[in-house]
Amino acid sequence: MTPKPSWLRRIVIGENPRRTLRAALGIGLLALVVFRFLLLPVRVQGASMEPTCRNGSLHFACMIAYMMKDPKRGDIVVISMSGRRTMYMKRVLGLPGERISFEAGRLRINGQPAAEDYLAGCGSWTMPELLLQSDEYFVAGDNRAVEIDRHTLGSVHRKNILGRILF
Amino acid sequence: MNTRQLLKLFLIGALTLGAAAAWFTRDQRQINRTVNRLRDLVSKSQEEKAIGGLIRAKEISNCFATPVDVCLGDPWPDFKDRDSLAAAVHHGRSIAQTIQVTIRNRTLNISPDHQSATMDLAAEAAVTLSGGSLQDIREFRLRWVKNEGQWLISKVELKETIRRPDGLESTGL
Repeated sequence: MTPKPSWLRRIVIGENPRRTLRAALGIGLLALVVFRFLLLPVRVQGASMEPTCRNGSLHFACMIAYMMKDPKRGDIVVISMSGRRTMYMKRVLGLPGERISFEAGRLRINGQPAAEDYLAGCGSWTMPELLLQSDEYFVAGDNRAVEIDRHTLGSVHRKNILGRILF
Repeated sequence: MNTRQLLKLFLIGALTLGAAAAWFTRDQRQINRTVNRLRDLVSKSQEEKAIGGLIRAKEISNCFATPVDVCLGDPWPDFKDRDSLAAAVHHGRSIAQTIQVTIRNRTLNISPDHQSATMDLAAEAAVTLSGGSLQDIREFRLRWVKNEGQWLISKVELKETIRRPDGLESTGL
């Protein structure tokens, strides 16, 4: 009769080590697939998206959100730079073919004022009208307290928009 | 064939594979080393002496070919020669108290003849000045040429994933 494994061993690797190893490998593989290809963890660096996404906060981007459909206005998206280690996080404000401008802090789409209920304050941004091409989206951060000349905003190609922030 | 002979064969095979891998990735390693060196040279600690800054600016310019074409974006002008680049780098570094540069997202493509290469990367800089601090991230495309066995940067282009509307100034780094 084989001796019963100690309680510590039972807690750490279970009564059947082979099954535990298989389960650990399965969980590891699943986590790799989920967090690399489906739900990418994103750590915010900078104040561009405040107050929606605070500096240093952790969010998750759904990387398959735009496989079947296109980004919508108001979506918070991750935008690839040269790779996926560092990306931009911005809000989609303008869709392809639209004319986008800012007047005294108010977003205007095709000349009409647009509501932005996610903002803490509208600031004083002024930007001449920009016509988006058929594969371009206009993106900007939510922090309008930052002066426009110190804020990264503008048009981005559809192919650079990788995923949508879920939470 | 006994075990000892098998082990010898395995070792010889492993060494040959290692040497081949080192040979075929030598350009890639040299370019990456130069980028790391540039990152370290541009970064600045609070203890740096003035003479150290001059030496670093000169060393930075030595990573570039002659002639060179460097576009870093606003507020920097374009640089067409190494001396003006070294002077601007020295001036920029002397204003800052500390500079911390991080390079991310490197993608390297070497031409089949191993005489030129293109690297895309994102450079992040955190700068402390006497009046506060700045943080900026920019994407660049670096074009490399091999000159007498040494890889040098011949062109730096600013890549804009998010294209700023015309007429909208930027006062980033």
